[in-house]
Amino acid sequence: MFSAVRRERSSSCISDMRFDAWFGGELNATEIEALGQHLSDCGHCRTRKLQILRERVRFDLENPALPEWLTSFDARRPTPKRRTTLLISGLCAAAAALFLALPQAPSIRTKGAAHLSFYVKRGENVHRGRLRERLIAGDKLRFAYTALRPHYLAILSLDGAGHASAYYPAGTHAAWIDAGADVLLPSAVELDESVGEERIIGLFCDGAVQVAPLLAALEAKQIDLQKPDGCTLDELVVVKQAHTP
Amino acid sequence: MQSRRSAQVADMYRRHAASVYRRACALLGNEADAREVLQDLFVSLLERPEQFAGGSSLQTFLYSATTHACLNRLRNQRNRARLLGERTDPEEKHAPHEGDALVHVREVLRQMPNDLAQVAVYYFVDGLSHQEIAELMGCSRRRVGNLVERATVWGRSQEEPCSAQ
Repeated sequence: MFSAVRRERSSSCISDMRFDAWFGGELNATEIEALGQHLSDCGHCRTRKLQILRERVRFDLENPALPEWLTSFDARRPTPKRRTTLLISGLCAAAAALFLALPQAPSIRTKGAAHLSFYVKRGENVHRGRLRERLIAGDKLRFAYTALRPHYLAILSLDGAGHASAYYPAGTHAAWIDAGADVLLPSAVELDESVGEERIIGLFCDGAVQVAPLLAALEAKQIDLQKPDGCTLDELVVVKQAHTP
Repeated sequence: MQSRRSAQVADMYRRHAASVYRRACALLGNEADAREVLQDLFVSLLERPEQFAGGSSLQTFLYSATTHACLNRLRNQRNRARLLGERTDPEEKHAPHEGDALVHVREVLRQMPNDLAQVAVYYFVDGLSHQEIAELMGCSRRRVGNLVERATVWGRSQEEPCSAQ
């Protein structure tokens, strides 16, 4: 009876618990690199990794904020001083086991420079974004990063009209991130009606750089972002199209 | 301002809620119960943060806490049904994509001694290695091997006998 439900895998394969630790930011750079090496040789684990990632993305996209019972905890606590809660964008609940047909597993890039990736939710479907992905208004994007060591991260965009904005973080300075592979960032972005090519720039920095001057530089120069000292840069390009029903 | 404690739990939730929910769904077979387990677990961390003292990794703590919560819930469902004179219907609530195997496993888990049920979840449902289970349960690999063997025997004893031809 029990053996009918156990997913057989070789002893060297990565368990779900290990994947969960990885995506939860619990592993160090050496451990992540070891997993990346195994994944480069193991199709079974690449498929399982994508399944788990898709479940995480769906869970997050369907519930873009922390649940009320968590955000309102401080307000409900019987402390002498009532405090207002700060809403942190993030995850939530939903998504049973969805063992959907998976797209071809993309290559795993755990070596080298830190970089961004993203997932797209359109209607009920979630897929991993590709270079020059064609997007429409209403698509929701969820960014993820891979970094072998902790950084401060800011994600900026320059749309087709030359307007710069920050996708991440919500605050004024780049936000601290732990080392990890395909670590999902807490909030999803819903695309507006604007069309054209959009550059999405991830800045992985040693310090908490200010976002506003970077946005100004991006808008002013339109093409090249003056890379701040101590930062590496990763760039994605997506193409936003008018929706044609 | 958000308190330090709730900010920490919010960060834990952001990083681990999806995996807690996925496992709870698999173990309980329905989303409503899985959501309740998810909520109960993180609310208990808000109310009693000392239960995760940092002696193990957060991932280890959450796997263990989720397993306990789900097993308790399965047993409570059985007890409630028994007290109300109802029959626990294995077909009642499980997700439509599931095969019969997991439904029957859930029924057996409801009746197993706790240590066997835990090891059955980790080994058969989660597919963990003996080493990983030993770390989760804080015991030796030898002990895990023994528990897996006993759980297997228990599971076999619950299978319906083949009809003699």
